[in-house]
Amino acid sequence: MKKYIHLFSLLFSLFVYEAKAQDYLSFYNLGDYVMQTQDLSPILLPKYKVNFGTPLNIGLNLNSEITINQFLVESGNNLKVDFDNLNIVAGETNIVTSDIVANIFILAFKVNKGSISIFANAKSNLAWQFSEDFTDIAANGFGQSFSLSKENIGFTSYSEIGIGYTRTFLGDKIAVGLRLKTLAGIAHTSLEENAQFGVDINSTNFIWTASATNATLNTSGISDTENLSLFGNNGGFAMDLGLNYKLNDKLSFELSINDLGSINWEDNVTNYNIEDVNGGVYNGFDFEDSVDILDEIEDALNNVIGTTETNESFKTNLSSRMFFSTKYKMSKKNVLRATYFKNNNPYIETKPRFGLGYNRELNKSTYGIIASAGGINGGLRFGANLAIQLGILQLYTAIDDVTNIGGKVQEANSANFRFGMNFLFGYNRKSTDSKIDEYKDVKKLITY
Amino acid sequence: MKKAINTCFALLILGVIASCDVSYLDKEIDDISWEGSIKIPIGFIDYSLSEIFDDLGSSSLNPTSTEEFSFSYTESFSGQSDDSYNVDIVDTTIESSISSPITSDDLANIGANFPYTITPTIAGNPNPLIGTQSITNKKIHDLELSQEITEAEFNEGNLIITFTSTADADINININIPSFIKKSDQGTYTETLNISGRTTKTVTIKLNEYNADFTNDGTYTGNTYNKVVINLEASFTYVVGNQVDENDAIAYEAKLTNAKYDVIYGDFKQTSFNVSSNTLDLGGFFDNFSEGDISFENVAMAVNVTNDYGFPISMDLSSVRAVNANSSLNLIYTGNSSLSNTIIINGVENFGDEERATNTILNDTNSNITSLLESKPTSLEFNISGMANPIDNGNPNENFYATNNNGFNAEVIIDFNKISLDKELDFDGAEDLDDFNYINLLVNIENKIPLTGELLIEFKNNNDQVVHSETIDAFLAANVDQSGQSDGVAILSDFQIELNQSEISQITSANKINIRATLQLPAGRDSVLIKGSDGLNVSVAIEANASITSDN
Repeated sequence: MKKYIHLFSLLFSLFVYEAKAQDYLSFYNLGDYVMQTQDLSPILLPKYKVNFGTPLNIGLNLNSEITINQFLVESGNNLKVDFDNLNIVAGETNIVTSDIVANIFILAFKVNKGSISIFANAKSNLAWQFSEDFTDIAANGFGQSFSLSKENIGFTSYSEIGIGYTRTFLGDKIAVGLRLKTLAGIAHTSLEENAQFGVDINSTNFIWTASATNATLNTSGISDTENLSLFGNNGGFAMDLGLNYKLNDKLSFELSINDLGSINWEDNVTNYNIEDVNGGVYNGFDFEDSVDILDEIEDALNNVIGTTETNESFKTNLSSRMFFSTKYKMSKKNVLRATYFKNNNPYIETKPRFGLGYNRELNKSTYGIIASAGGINGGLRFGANLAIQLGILQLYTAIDDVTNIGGKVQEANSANFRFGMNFLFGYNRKSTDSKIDEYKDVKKLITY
Repeated sequence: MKKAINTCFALLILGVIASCDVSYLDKEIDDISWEGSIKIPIGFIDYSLSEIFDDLGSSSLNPTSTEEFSFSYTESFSGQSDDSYNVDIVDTTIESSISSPITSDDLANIGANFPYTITPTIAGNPNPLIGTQSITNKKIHDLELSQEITEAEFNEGNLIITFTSTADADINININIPSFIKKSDQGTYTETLNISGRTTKTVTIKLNEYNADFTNDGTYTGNTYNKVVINLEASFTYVVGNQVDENDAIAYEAKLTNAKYDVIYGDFKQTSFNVSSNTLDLGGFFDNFSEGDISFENVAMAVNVTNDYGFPISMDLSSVRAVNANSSLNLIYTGNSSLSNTIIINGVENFGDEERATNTILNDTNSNITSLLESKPTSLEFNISGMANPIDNGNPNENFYATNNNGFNAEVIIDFNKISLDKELDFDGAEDLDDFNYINLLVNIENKIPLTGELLIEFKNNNDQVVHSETIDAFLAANVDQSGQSDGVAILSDFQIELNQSEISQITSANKINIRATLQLPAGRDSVLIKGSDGLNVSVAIEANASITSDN
């Protein structure tokens, strides 16, 4: 027992100050109790024969290095947008990410040695990295030279319909999960990789020397928002892979890689381009025969810093996620799980996150806590999760940072929760003892 | 352990139920305001001088043109003729005679008649006709000169006096001409002559040895002018045997011939003095600015006159006028309180002195010379009338005229330091500037034109009141080569116009801009050669600080 505790402690120590990432670690720890965890690990070994997930399954994950009150500051009894303060608090680079998941439905069947599921989800995620050069422009304008080379943004909204299959081998020693998903892109915005735009402003004559590389903002569903559809016309495909290895009755390992896929954006596409330029000099417009100053400046700027709008299709990869966890079953009902999470976001560089959680696992319910570190905002966080069964109704929730609970929204730089309601049918009853134990636990919980 | 788990679970439940405190977001959010700055080039223009002039209303300076651009124009004048003062002493003859002192009464007293031959005695007594008797004669001759001449210093000519005696007597003649004063000793002309019998004798007086005093009226000098006085005293001596006749006399004829002088003195009165008419052609200059408003700074017209005459001369400028195709404007000069529009040119005080210089400056304080130039004349016409002795103080004028003189010469120089060109432009959209807290316009100029430029920018409101103005030393002149042309190397200049919020507020009420471009020649030059291709490269950048709110 001790060696495993030490192993967990070591892993935790390695990552607690180094790691930096995000995601639903607390939700991940609900495991087979909640079928929506398939979004994180395709291995699903449900306890019920039939599992139906309602549309009331929502997940939100928001992380920002900037808090609301650093940008939206108090001004008397009101609030005001304060670009200056934003610039003051901004770091060299700043990241804002959000991830919203709405499970439209999921239907999972327990089968011999595994499960089969079909599902539909709507997802939206944003990854935005902006630099202090950007906030300086926002706060102070174009009064000095700047170089926007660390900016990146990726926003993707899409729906997915898929089927999942989990199969155990070697007497449940190994479990393999696979989910195949067809994607329908709804809307998208992203900067080209290595996009760069900079202007050197001569302090003597204010002449601009511009450089731009790959400065293209690809969008779909943005220029015309009236005809957006939940099942958009931008096709794609993705898959989730999972592998679980049970070393013994106490210790098991799990690896999952999700959202390996891409979307071809072909519908309602607009590419906003700044043409590549290296050392392009803007010195104004020719006053001769000029008419409207603003129009002339725009034309002259466009001659140097050419902007175009095109409608070329493009392809984007999904932000894939990898979980690796080690589960240690301290006793029949007490489980310790260490999790490593890495988000391979194509738009921003994120650091991994590490969690160490404990769950009390009953026959139909589970609850637990988790300590995690790393991610975008760093620091040590404590989360909790819960899944309870009320007849055929299952309720669950999970949160990664309980310190935000009851806190002031303006001071929070992260929000992460997942909750939902499922209908579960056909539980594989266990021994009377187990039922008694579970009854006692639940009763205590409610009493408390 | 269970208790801890339960506690965590309770916290989770509470958190889900209570959620976060979102009251912060219940507050009203002010309109978004943004304050920031921008530094950005606005634009540039490559202006050739021909284009500048074209904008100012002239197309006469094309890109290949080269013409002199001068801020100084000179014209010379002279006295037309000095005949009025170069008094001609024409040849004249002065005649007079002295009759014999023996009259018919004298003969009757001795019982004789003409003709009569003197005998030794009459009735035993000595003949009373024997002896010497003197008779004087004074002749005052008016030379009838064109001016009232009082003196002359002869350098040529003669006065030839021919005496003719018709008396059979010995006659001694004392000649005195008080009008002729010997240069050598200042004494009057005196000569003694003896004529015996009926004969002729001639005396020639070389005038170059004498000065003339034409003021002797026969009594005293200083009383008159143009007069020559000849005094004679003839002593007739009769002796026995001389035949006396009724018409015995001694007569003379004094011929003044070819009299020339170095100088004459006198009173030339207020006779007119002719000055040559001249026209100063300015067409080439103002052709370049035919349609734009033009103004000048420090305009001065110098009238520099040298007068070698021995009398003052007036120059009446009333008829000096600026003429263009449509109108003319006469010069007004108020610098002389006694005579309007008149410049008085001093005369030489003493014969032999250097010619006298009189320099007069006409400028904005004493004339309308600036208005004349600003009427954009094609020419300035100088029809100047002159007069000798313009000031009449009631006393005779003491003038002189030297035959050897440099005359009257005038030079008129019109120059000005700067020329200003005005252009008024509509100024729309000024209210858009309200968003700005600070504006700094940065202007860089590369100038190949050999002229220095200043700018006066005036922002005017509907009532034509200047609400804000900026004075700027805009650009420095390009260097010139030997010929006065630009050397083609651009001279860099820059200036800034900084406007604070108060000044921007003033400008927002403007709807017109008047731009006055003032051109100035390079230091030390009166003119340059400008080429239509001379260029001016202007680039303008702006540094602005603006406040923008979402409601505007």
